[in-house]
Amino acid sequence: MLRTEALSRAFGGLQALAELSLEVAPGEIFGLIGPNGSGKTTLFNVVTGVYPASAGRVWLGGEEITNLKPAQVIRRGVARTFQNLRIFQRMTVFENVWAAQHGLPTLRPRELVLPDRAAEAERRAEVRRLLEATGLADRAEMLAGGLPLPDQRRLELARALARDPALLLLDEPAGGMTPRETEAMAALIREVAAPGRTCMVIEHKMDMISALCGRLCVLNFGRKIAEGAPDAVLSHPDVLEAYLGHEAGDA
Amino acid sequence: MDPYLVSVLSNIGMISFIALSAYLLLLTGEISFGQQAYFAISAYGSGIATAMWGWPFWAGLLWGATLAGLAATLVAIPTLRLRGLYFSIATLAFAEMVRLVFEIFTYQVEIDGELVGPDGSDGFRDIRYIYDSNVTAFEYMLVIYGLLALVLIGFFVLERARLGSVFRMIGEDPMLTEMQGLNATAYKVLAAAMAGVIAGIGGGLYAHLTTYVEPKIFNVMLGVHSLAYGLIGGLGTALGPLLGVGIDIGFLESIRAISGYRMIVFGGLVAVLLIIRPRGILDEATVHWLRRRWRRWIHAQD
Repeated sequence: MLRTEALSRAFGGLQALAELSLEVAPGEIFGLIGPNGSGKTTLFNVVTGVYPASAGRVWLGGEEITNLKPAQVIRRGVARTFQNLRIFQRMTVFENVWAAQHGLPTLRPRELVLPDRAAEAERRAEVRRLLEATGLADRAEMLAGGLPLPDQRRLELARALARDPALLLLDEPAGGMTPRETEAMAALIREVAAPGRTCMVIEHKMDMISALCGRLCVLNFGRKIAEGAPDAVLSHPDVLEAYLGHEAGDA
Repeated sequence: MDPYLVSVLSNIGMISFIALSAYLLLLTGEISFGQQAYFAISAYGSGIATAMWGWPFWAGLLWGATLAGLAATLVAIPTLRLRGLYFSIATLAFAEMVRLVFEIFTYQVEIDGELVGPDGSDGFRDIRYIYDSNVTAFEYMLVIYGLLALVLIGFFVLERARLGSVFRMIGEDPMLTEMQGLNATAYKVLAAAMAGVIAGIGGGLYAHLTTYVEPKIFNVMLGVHSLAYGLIGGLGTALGPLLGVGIDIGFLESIRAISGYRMIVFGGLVAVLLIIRPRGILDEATVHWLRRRWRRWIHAQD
């Protein structure tokens, strides 16, 4: 589904991604972990065209998407959420999800001004279904800026799903959530991945990520230091060292 | 109707177009100090069409607004790559350039033994189509408000449609807008073109009401005012900039006691509002609240 080959990105002298080669299979929930600043979010940004790659290539479902503009990547079936929460604060919860449909390839330009009655009703019903599924239905008419943090994360997920993406990139979907909320979010992700949707999840919560993901990749200083099944990866000496420091790695 | 009142109301109507023009760009998050350029281009363009080429009024107005829209598009394509302050300065520079071009622009023809047409800094006299056609000031005021109503209806349709939502998305977060599969720059160019046409309608109406335009009318103060109207009145609805125009021309100008100090009071008002209500009186939160109240009230009537 997603493949990168020797993908690199430097910011001045800082190598945020160093020759990263990855392959995410269709329908897989793939975990991306690593200490802060290890390049996880940079990978999402390079894949979605926010930053151009310094070197290397990216393919999406067989088509090369290296250095396409963000809107072009998104229109090929990618959606993402943000670690630092980006929502349209001055719009209602409903409008935030509705907004994700404006750029759907199936929406003709004319419909931006003159909607087809039936098609528009169907799309609005889809927005309500997504709000229902993410537990936001009763807040649909609230301004999104006023939502508590866990609801804002769910809103980001609902908005990403409104594009019905083939590849869903989730950047710390349970960031700042309580254990119970985290569990609910994991269940939600499993649900949205069930119809064979490919998901890539960045998370620091190891319990969640090892239960959720079939495979993990661990980054450190922009390099891949381990990849494979959660149990094997999390007991890998390099991973322990990266997370816990040198002495703990030795112990 | 009292001639003074007709003239004040006509002024409010015409200035509303340029206020709405600046408002449309404010929705996309861009601060333009240069919408007076499109007002000017259409004032000259439509004036030339009716006074010199003998076109009918409506054709002249359409021509002026089209010219303004084209100019706005051409300016938007390079400048919208700039962001924030850089864009604002570029619009200001362009508008001053347009004004200085009109200072030297001379194009006159002889009609009935008299020279008619723009004459550099002496301006452009005798745009007399309206008076020659015996349209009264009151009737012309109705023309202004009829067109303003059409533009407002256009805004209401826009704001309910997905396109209006795209503009507001760009205003909040251009990168997040791109992440919804939308080319933010292309939509900003579209907004700038529409804003140019709207300012152009105002400019054409203005030239035919005053019958005389000169370059210095279209100075930066006009641009700053049109920007301030949206910021005072509010960015939550197209009625916001109209409220701003009403406050400035309708209220401040009519209070004779402060006549000499109007600009000072206006400037202070802008400064205070920017601090306590950065997105104006009718900001998004207020409009949202009013809409909910309105819906609930309608519901209660059923």
